[in-house]
Amino acid sequence: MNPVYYDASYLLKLQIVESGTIEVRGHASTVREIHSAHHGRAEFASAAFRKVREGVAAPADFQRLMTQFHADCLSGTILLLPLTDTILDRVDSIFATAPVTVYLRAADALHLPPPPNTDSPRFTPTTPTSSPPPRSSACAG
Amino acid sequence: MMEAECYLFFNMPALVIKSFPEDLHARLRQIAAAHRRSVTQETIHLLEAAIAAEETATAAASSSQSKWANRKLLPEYEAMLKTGAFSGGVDSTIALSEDRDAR
Repeated sequence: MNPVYYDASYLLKLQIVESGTIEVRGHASTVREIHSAHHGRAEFASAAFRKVREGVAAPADFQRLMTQFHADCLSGTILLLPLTDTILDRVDSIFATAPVTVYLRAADALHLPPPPNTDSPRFTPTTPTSSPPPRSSACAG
Repeated sequence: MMEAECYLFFNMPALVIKSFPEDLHARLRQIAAAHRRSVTQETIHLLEAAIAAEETATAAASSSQSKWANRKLLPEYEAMLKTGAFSGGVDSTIALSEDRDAR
């Protein structure tokens, strides 16, 4: 079983119930562990807090969600991969070689760069799908 | 050594197994007769059962290695989900896309 890379949207669909949750949870059950970029943690919190702002969750619910998320990070279920200079260099090269018509946001680009010699699929529904993940294994619980 | 070949007859797949062991064929005929099925029907029935068992075992083995499938749920989080919290509002995919647009 290979690890898989999810972006923040997939991380949130795992933890709360919304469109696509069943499919993402089903997929997560077939992979060893879940990887995401470090900044995905802030995106996860931001998108979850928007639900609080919209009145579909209470601030206490937000705390419970984040506690579970951090527990999943600490247990190694979700690994948040550090944004290293190597990753940023690869972001540079993505922009350097992208067609002029490509609209790629900074946060999208940070989710994209795969390290060489990896073969896990990436799932980034808010961005174009690219190739593999694991840069290293670090968890910021 | 047994060999199997697949054919399509009038768009229906057919399976021909060469060198099928005689004793196995005899047992298959007996079981089919006991179940009031043809040998073909019995073969399909047995294959369906065997394949379903194999698929179930594979899925179970797969899920036992998944950290997500075996993660520990915090009681407060589990209870919160049952209340329907976070259901509704803007989908996270759209929320994150808007968030990235705003930066």
